[in-house]
Amino acid sequence: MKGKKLKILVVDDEAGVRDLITYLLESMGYIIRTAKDGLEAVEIVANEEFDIIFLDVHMPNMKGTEALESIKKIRPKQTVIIFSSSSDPYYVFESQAKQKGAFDCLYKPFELDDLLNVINKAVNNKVN
Amino acid sequence: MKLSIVTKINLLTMTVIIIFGLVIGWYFIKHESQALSIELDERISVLLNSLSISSEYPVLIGDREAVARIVDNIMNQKDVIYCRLEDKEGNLLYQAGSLKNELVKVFNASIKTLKRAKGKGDDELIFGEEKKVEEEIGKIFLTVSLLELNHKINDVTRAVVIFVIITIILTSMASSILLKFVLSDPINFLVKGTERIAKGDLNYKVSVKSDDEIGRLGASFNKMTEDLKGVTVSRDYVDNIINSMIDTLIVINPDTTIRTVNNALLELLGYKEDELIGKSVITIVSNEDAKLFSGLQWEELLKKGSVDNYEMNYKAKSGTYIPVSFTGSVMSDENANIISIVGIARDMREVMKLKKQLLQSEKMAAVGQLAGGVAHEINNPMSVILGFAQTVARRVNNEKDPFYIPLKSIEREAVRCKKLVGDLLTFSRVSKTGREPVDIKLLIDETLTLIESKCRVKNINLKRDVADKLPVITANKNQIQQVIVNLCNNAIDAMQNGGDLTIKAVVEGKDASEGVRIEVTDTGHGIPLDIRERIFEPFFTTKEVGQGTGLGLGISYEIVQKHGGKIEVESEVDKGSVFRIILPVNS
Repeated sequence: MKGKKLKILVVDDEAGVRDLITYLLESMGYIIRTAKDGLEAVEIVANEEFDIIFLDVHMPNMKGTEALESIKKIRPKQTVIIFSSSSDPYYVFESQAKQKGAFDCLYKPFELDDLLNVINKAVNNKVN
Repeated sequence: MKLSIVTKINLLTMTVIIIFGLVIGWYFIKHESQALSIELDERISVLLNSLSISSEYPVLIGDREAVARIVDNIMNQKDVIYCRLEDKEGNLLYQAGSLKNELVKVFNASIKTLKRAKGKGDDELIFGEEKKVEEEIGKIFLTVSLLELNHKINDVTRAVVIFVIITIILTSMASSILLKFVLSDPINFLVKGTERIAKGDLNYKVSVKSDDEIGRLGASFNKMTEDLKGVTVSRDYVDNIINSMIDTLIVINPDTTIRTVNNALLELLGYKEDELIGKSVITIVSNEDAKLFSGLQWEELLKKGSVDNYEMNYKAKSGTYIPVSFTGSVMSDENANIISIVGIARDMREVMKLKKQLLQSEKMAAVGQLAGGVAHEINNPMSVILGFAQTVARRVNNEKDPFYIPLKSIEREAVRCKKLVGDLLTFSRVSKTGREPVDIKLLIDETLTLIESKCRVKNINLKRDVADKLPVITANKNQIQQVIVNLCNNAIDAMQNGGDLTIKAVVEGKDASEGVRIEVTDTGHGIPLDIRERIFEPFFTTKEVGQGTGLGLGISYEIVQKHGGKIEVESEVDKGSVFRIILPVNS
């Protein structure tokens, strides 16, 4: 971690998930913002820049996949990591998401190490 | 006694010829005998006449010597055996020869002389009443032997008889030969022809080419077979159809004995034709289904006329039951008399298997649907529980902390739930995800390292029997590994007291391009027959609560199915089980 703190947006309709990530990552020194659906996320992204956005797929109002497209329109280089429930067929979904510009996919219920690994991967990718 | 028509005609002809011959012979013999007799009589009468004339004078003058000479002379004549001359008083003048005790004929004649009869007292020749009067002066007796005559008659008779017999024989032979060619042979040809046609050979032609009635019969016979060909089907043709049928066919007499069966039935049940014909149909049906073919149900079937798709079991010669769908109908003659029941039974084994498979996959799909629906809802809370537990546990990071064990427990159980949900989701995933070329040999080696330690602990001898050359298959490597691990874990659990666990992999089929067969064999307690069908059902388990989810084999089944493969099990209680996976090269 260099001088600047990483800004992360967590988009999930589940308060528990938002709380978990906020609790975990704030303690690690990240700046966390949350949104409870796709619409809200797109509004926030329009005004603020984020290093990483975690985006849930199944949400009311605007689905994750639609939100992804909107976000990518606003910020084409935005790093977005998709949260997926493992009920989504792994590979087809993953390749589709990546086609639409997602950086990676994380499957719920994820383990701590999975989350930290994917953040590291995203950070390294940005640095390079 | 059966006589052929030719024999009858021959006998008739011979009888006629014999009667004719006898009549002719008899007439001829009679005629000839009479002629011979007359000839003898005439000769003797000439002889007597000459004797009478020549002896007249010697008798008149009493010259006995002359008489003797004449008589001796007569005695030289043929057939004469005795001759005697007497004077008119009957005194013997002379006799010669002897009377033998044989067939003879006696002739006699008078010796006469002409005497002048004068008038009273004078013997005036010129005038007066003078006339010549024949006066008997003696008698001749001549005995003639008939021996010679009889000999002659016998000779003639013999000749006639021989002639007649020869004539009869020759005529009979001639008539036999003629009849054979004209009647017997053509009739035999026709008989042979009818026999061939009766057997269904409508291509048979009789060769009777004469111009007579028989010839016309032959021609009309050939025309009949030709016409028959047009309007009937030969037995061969029908047999061919029956035996080409894929479904089994049986024809049952009203008394429930078997009348006809086709090859499909014989093959299905393992019988030979003569082992079934004439036997009761009960022989080939299961004990429970025997009632259809007896008593009231049978009567009812006969009355009703048909039975449609009756699900029943045939009983093979080996005793195994074969599920069939039986459709039968009553065959009647024109007077509505029941001739037989024609039954067709379709082997339902494959259908039943497919039904079972369908049921199984429906179950799987239901579980998948349920899991898919619930998983999303469970995954979010699970994420939170697992995530917080791990985060807090990491912060505590001290085994002596009173929260450490509770947090680790929450983490462990959450991971278990996560795994369970993941397993359940296998049933709902249908897409061909994550397929890559997989080297089965390598995969098995990797998998074996996972279970090696467990085997060692459980005192199980792990055997590896993998062929050197195995095709590379396209598959989801993790899923296939999961299947092998599941099977190995079950095998290990089945051998609580140790044993042998063998992993075998060979090329499936003739060609390595077809696929791979992987077998996991244990020497454990085996799977009882009653639960063998259920082991692939999701949530079916025989393990204790907490020891297994009941998903292992279900998932394995699902994975193999989705790879286009097959999973089979063979098991014997107390001997062990073999799980066989067949995976195609390209699913």
